[in-house]
Amino acid sequence: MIIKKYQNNLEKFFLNNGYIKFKIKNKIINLLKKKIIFFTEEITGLKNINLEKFHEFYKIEKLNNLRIKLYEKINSDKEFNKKIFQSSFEHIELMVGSELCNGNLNLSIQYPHDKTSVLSMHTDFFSGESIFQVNLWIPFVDVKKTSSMFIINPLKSINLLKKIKESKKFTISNIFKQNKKDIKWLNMKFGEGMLFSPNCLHGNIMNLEKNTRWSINVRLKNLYSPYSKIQENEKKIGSFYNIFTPKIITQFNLKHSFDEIIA
Amino acid sequence: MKLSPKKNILRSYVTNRKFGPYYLPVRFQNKLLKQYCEEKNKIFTLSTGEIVFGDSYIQLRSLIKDINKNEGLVLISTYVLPKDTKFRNEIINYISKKKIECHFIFENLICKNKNDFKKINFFFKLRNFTNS
Repeated sequence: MIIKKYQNNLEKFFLNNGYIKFKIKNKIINLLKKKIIFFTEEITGLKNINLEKFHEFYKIEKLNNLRIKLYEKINSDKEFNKKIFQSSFEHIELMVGSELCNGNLNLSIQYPHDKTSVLSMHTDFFSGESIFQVNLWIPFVDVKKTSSMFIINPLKSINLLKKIKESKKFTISNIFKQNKKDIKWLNMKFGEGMLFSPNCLHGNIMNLEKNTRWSINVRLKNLYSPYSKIQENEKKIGSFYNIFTPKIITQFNLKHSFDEIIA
Repeated sequence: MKLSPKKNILRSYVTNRKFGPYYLPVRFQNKLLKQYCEEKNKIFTLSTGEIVFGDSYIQLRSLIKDINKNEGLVLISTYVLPKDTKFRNEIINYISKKKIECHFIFENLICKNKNDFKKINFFFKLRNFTNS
């Protein structure tokens, strides 16, 4: 259980910076890592995989196929999904409550000097995702600087987003280059997790460190918080978000159509 | 003769909003773009999505700026381009000036030179004449 003083500190930090980091129980994070290694060995046929040095043993040309297969494995493995959620449940609850919908688990494998894994500066609502979601990000190796991800704090993000919205001259790379001083690299140790608001500008650049980054991210929001206001946008429940932890009263009303009586 | 890999790459662009009278979720736009690339024997690349707010077309402009020599561009329709004629022409001229081969799937149009690019504005004008 999270104590009040710690909660207040988290709130204050998140409101100013757009993210929080926290420790994950060893038992859970080790089990998750073990499963990732097991799945990877099963798919590749390799033995005794070292995630940090994976780029030394597995060709980059084959990486995308591996990503796709691992994506299917982790998303269909109920225990893996459960443990991801358990790893951060108390912090997720502080952010968005306990009646949740979520996106699928996304896996990033970022080799050193791989241009194809770059995810340029963006916010998740660029594509119509809800501004009321929080993203969980868990690295499975130590990450620092360019092997990690960056974030720009909420106030600075808003200033840049106004520019992105209104200017017909700037490009994303111009804006990124001109505001490099405002980016915060999120250095993390294996065993830590992070929750961040994807409303803040974030992304990565080419990994210039020595190790491969392995991380998982997942979008979470309250089932009843607002979705995209754009009528035709598909970032809605069913077509983008999955019903994840419906409470009993939601299940009751899904089972019995009282809503049709009051319609 | 084997084409250089770059000549075979089409960079893809998708929109999260209505385009003309259509709306197609991004994942289905991606499926069509990928299928089109396969049919044309081109390499499909992960798409760039336009932002849902404002009319700056920043992602399209960024994509055109970053596109490498000899890479092409594929869009689902000419309707994806700005409605505003002046702004649309700026973007078309930018694509044309960089000599980017541009494919529009719905219209079955491949623009390689200035005359081809003129057809885009003809489509917009004719749609206005006929309210279609």
